[in-house]
Formats: sequence, C-alpha cells, structure tokens
Amino acid sequence: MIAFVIRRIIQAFIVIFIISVIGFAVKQSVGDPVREMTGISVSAEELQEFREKLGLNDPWYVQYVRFLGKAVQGDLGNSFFYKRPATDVILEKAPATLELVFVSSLIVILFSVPLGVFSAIRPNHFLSRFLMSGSIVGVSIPVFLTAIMMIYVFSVKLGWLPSFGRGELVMIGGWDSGLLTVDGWLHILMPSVALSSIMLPLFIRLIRAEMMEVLESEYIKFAWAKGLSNRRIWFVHAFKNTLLPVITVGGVQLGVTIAFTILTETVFQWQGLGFMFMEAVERSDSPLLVAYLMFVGIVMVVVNTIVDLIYGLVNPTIRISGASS
Amino acid sequence: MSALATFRESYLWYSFKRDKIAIASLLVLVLLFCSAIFAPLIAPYNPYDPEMIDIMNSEIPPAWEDQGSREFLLGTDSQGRDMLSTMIYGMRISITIGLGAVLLQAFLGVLIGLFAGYHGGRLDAIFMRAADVQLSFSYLMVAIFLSAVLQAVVGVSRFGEIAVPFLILVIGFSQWPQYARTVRASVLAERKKEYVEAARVAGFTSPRIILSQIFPNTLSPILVLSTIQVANAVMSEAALSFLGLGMPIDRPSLGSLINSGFEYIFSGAWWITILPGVLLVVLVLSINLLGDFLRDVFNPKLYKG
Amino acid sequence: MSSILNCIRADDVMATLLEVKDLVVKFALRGGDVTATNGVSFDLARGERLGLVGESGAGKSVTGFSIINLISQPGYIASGSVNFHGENLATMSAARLRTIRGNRISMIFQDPMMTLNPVLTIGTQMIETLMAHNLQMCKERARGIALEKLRKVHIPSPERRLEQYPHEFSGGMRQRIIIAIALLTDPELIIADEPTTALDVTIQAEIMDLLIELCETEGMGMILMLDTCRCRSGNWTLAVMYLRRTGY
Repeated sequence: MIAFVIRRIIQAFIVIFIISVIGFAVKQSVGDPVREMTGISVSAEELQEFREKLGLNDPWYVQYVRFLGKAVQGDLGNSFFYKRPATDVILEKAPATLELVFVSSLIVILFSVPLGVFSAIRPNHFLSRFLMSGSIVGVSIPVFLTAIMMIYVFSVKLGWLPSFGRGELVMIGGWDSGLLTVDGWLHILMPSVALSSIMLPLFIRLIRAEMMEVLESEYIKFAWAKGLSNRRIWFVHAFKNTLLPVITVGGVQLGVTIAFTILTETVFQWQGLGFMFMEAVERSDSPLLVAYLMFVGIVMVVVNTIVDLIYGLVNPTIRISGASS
Repeated sequence: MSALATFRESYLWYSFKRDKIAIASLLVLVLLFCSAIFAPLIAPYNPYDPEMIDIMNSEIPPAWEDQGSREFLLGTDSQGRDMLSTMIYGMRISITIGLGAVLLQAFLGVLIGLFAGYHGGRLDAIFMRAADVQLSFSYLMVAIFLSAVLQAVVGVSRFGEIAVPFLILVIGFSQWPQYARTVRASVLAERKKEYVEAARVAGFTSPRIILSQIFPNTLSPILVLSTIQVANAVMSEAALSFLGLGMPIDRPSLGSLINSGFEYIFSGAWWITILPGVLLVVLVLSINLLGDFLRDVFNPKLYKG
Repeated sequence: MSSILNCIRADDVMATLLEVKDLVVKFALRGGDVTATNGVSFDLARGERLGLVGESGAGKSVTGFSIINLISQPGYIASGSVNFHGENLATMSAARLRTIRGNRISMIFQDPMMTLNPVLTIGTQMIETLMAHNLQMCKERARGIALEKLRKVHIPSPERRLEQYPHEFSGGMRQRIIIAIALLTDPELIIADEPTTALDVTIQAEIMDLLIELCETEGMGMILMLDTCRCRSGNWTLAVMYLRRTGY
C-alpha cells in the first residue's frame, strides 16, 4: 500500500510539473507584460531597460525557474484587469464554483446510484427501459441548451426561479456561501441541475453496465447458491464490485464537470471560476488565465490522486500487494 | 461472393433490419447530411449574402405563431436572417468540423495506438501517460484551453478567417487519447495471438505486420468509437462556439447560433436559440443512437470514460 | 449400464433424498429455444453418492444448477421435476428455495478462482452464509463454526486466514475454503460440479480425497460431476450423461 501511495504521489508531481510548463508557455505567449504595465507612451530604450529589469531578456529556463519559484509561493502575477494578485482573484471566485460542483455531484450521486442499480437488477422493468432511452437523450443535449431551456421555462415563462447570479450570500471565514440562505438555494437549483444533466445519464448507464456485468459473474452465482438474501447479494456482493470501476471513471469525470462549469456559469452568469475564466479570455488577462489553468490542474491532480487512493482502499488486491491493475 | 452479398448475409445487416430505432436514426442522419451537403440548393435564402438580409425582418416568429410569416418558415433571427437557411448552413459547418476533427483524431490516435501498443516500452509508456493526463482533464477542457490560448495569440479578428481548420485542429487534438487507448487495447490483445507470431517468424517487418495483420482487427472498435466521437466533436464545437471561442457570428455554426440567440429568450423570442438547439440535439441524438446500435452489434471493448 | 454399484445400507434404508424426473432445461435464445438437458432422471438416497459422468457439453453443469433451480438467464426448466424430500424445487417459491440453497443443499463450483467474491474477506463470506440461514446465529458463534470447518478442510492457522481476501490464496486453498463454506450448515447434499478440473494435477487428487473423506465422516449425500471416471475410493452410484440425457 505504501509503495502504491508513493508512486501515485510521484505521478501527481510529474503532472503538476507538466502543467506548470504549459502555464509558463501560455504566460510567455499571451500578452506583453511590459506593454500592460507602461502603456504605449514609452520610448524603445526605456522599454528595453524595463524588460532587463524584469528579467524578460533572460533565457527561457531562467525565467521558468523564477516563474516556478514564485508559483510555489502562490504568486502567479497580478491580474491585468483586477489589478490584484491572480491567486487572490482565484481564491475569491473558487467558493462559487466549488458549491456548484458540490451540489451537482450530490444530485448525481443521489440519483445515479439507486437508478443505476435498479435498472441493473430489473433490466426488463418499464422504468429501466425508460431510463436507458432517456439517458441517451440526456447525453445528447448540451449543458448550455439544458440551461437555456430551463431559464426559458422556469424564469421567463413561469417566473419561479431566478435566471442569474448567486443570490443572497453569507460570509463564513472567508468563504462566500450561498448554501445557507433560501435565496441562495433558489439560485443554485437550476445551475446545479443543468450541470448534473450531462453526468447523471452517464453515471446511470455506467453503474447499470458494471453492475450487470458483475451480476453475471461466478461469485454472484455462488452467493445465490449459498442462499443469501437478494438484498445482501445486490447491495453487498454486487455493489461493492460495481463501485471499483465507477470510482475510477468518477475521478476522470471531475475534469469533465469542471469543463462544464465554464458553460453553466456562462449561461447563468454565476460568479465563479468558469465565468471569470471566460472574462479573462475576452480581456486577454494572461496572468489570470495561467492562474486558472494551474488551479484547475492542481485540483484535478489532487482529486485524481485521492480517487486512486480510495480505489486502493476499496480494492483489497491493491491494498496488500501495492500493484495497480 | 460480392461485397454486397456478403454484407446482406452479415450479422450487422440482420440486426439492423430488426432495429427500428437504428433504421429511423440512420434515415434522419442521411436526411440531415444531405441537406447539409446540398445546403445552397435546399435553403430558401443564403444567410451569407447581405443583400438577402433585411434588418426590418428581424425577430419574426415561426410561421405557425401569431405574427409568423409564410416567407420565413421558422422565423428570422435578430439580424433578419431566415432561421431555416441559417440553421442548414450552420449544421453544414458543424458537420464539417465534426467529421474533420474525427478524421484527424482517428489518424493521430490510431497511429499512436498501433505503434505504441505493438512496440511497447518507453514510447508506449510516455504516450499512455500523456493520454491519461489529457483524459483526466477531459477533452472539452483541453479544447477550451487550446482555443482560448490560441485565440489570444492569433487575435480575434484574424481568428474568424481560420476558424474552421482551427476548430478541427483543436477538437481533433483534444480527443486523440480515446482512439489511442482503444486501438492500443486491441493491439495488445491481438499481439499475443499466434497468427502475429507466425507472421513475425515468416519474416514480415513490423510496420507490415501492424498494418496488414493487426490493423484490420481493430476496425470494429474504431468504427463504434468513431460514431460516438463524431457526436462528441459536434458537441465540442457547439460548446466552443457557444462560449465565443469557435465560429464567428457572420459564419455561424449551430453552437454560435444558440449563443447569439440566447439573450433574446428574455424578450420571448425563443426560436432564435431553441430551434438551432433542437436541430443540434436531433443531429447528436441520431448519431448517438446509431453508435449505441453499433456498440450492441460489435460489442467491442472500449475504453471507459 | 444400469447397475447400481453399491449402495449405503444404513438404517434409514433407501429413504429417497432427491428424485430428479424427466428434467428438461432449455435456453431461450434469439433464434428459438435450445435444449440443454432432455429428460434427465435419477434418484439419490440419503447419504448416497452419485457420480454424474459425461463429456463436456453433455449437460452436467446445467443439471447440477437446475437441482437448486439456479440456471442463468435465459435458461429455464421447461418440464420435469426435482423432488427434494418430496417437495418439487422446480416450482418452489423463491423465499422457500432460499432456505434450502446453501443450507440443506450446498454447491461447489468448477473454478475456485472465480467463485469467491474478491472484495470480501473469507470470514465475511463464511459468516454471512451461517447468518442467512439461522436468524438466532450471532457473529461469534458463526466465527467459531467457520473456524471449525476451515480446520476440517486442513487450512493452517484459520484464525488469521479468516481475515484475508481470496486473492491471497492459491487455487487449491480456495477450493478447500469453498468446500468449507459448503460444509458450514451441515447440508444433506453437496453438489460438486467438476471441483478439480481447474486445479493442478497434483492438487486434484488431494481435493477429491478430502471431499470423499468428508462425505463419509459427515454422512452427506453427494452428486459429483466429472468428465472422467477416475474415483479410486468410496461407494459410488454412477450415471452417465450423453446427448443431454442420463443412463445408468
């Protein structure tokens, strides 16, 4: 197990290293920091002097090491637009996105597990058939279209739910939370449902497929032959084995979820990281772009590593031998 | 036996004849593809021709609504363009980008998958690590990053001219790992079989073994994957265009049409955004249903996720 | 070939334990039904051992599973009966059937590498069987019984082994554990479906001897499916399966 953990952590560091190189490359190629700082009314000599002072004439690897050194300390430069450290802007916007991802993951888990398991153990039930055909329609509707249609129905036509923003927020310990007020929940309802609309059908299908495969296995047949109750076989024997592949895919899907937060936040003008990212793109705010890239990269690597470790805990084969399968 | 006769006796044809959903989605798909190809002949107006656009005709609802006009069957958008024509032309662009991106990613992925899988070793390890990392970021994320950064480098004004090849490149590059993974898995399974061993003993060179012996065996997973990936590529393009990172509004794809119409739903002009959305869903859904059918028939081992 | 070689003549002479009559099992496939067994019949007395011999594909496994009415989809029992103490298992309710499966009739599967659940410990998989069939059973007592049965199948240091997962055991060891699971509830009948074919040749004889020895000491009936006639010891009734039927 220890060997397994160490190997995962080394891998995580390699990936973070690669992300930092990409971040650096983006920083180098997008926008000119000197131009941003000085404006246009500066002579060529002064500009050159300024570049020298900022170390922009050093070879790229010297600049990279400097970039990395600062990045480790959390300094990714100042946002051109906000005129503040990019890291601060990221940390200020992160709660909105994290809450959105949290609520929609909750929706996905709460619905996909029972529905997926049900359609695996009762494959011919009309509800299972409905879920299967419904889920393929579900994955074929883009998130932003779901969001737009929801806004049209629930905000424009019925006027039940607010169409943009986070609503009333409560500040606790530097964290702007919308989950503590009724207004906040009304605001997060549509964005989180829209965000989960792409994951939910995917997970229902995945859980169903894995569970059906497990139910065909010899050890499940043996469990029947032992005279165990249906519930024990489905929820202990089969479900535990179903979880393994679902956990791995779940880790990968986090990346997809974050990508979709960009779309969801754009539609609902949700003041989170995704919305900030699109604004930064429009304004060519390269420090903020790089900060977002690094932040998302690190979150993704951390979550994937945790997912792998959980996988190791659930899967006894890895726990002992340290060999991943 | 001729190829046609072989096909008519195949399991694929047998299953297809019995699957109403597969038949229906293929028909819809053929219809959509044909109207995309023959867009200039089918579309009642040319949305690229400024002379045919009159701003006075803007935001006319579809013909069946109260203020609808017979002239514009599905209404007009905010600039007075005929929705039906704009949608057909938009779908043409969406399909072009979708197919182009899949061709590119298939080429990259199959090549990498075949050689990495066959040779193994360090090359294989590096490519598969890269595929892992890219997959964990998700193709959409990679595509959004790539186009955001490249657009910032190129500049928005020049971007419009090269948007189509650019999107093909971005989407193609962001999705190669799925192909590489799938192909590599079937190569690994095939490599151990005796016929490959026999070919090697017979003195065939490895590129030749890979192409003539192993490649044909990876075709059915590639076919199934390709259908799903066309749907994914069309969706990616729509997402990028919706974010303003894709097709510009004067040459809109379905995604940019949805984007440009979005703000008008608050004033009740739902058709500008919903109708292209419905067309996009019908297109993607029929590809997905066909892919589902092919997956059931061939039942290949695809990479999950 | 209808000679009963040797029967156990105990006090409860020839009290019929199991009576299989004209069993027809079919599989509903796309192109129509396929017959897996076509009129299998045999009787088994209490404590009697029956060897069901036949080539692969003759329908031995299907017969074994159909006795406890556990044929995988799309298979089903088309006609015939399986009477256990005079009750027909083929038409019995699922709830009643559960009190017999794994309790009064145990089964040993072909491939020990596939039979145990990889994510549950041996202990869990043994204790749950006991708890499923006896509501008064507490965990400690179940553990005690599990240990006793593991000793019976010659598993060294069973206390430690109980906490381990299947992948920490060799094939032969796993089959011993599966035999121990089959013995847990002191069943009247054990159905063993080619219990040694998936094992190394050297271990095959060991497992077979163990199985026969246990049957003798515990006085259990057994149906043993084999692809060859190779039993060296014990009193056996032999039935041959050929072309999906039985003959004596």
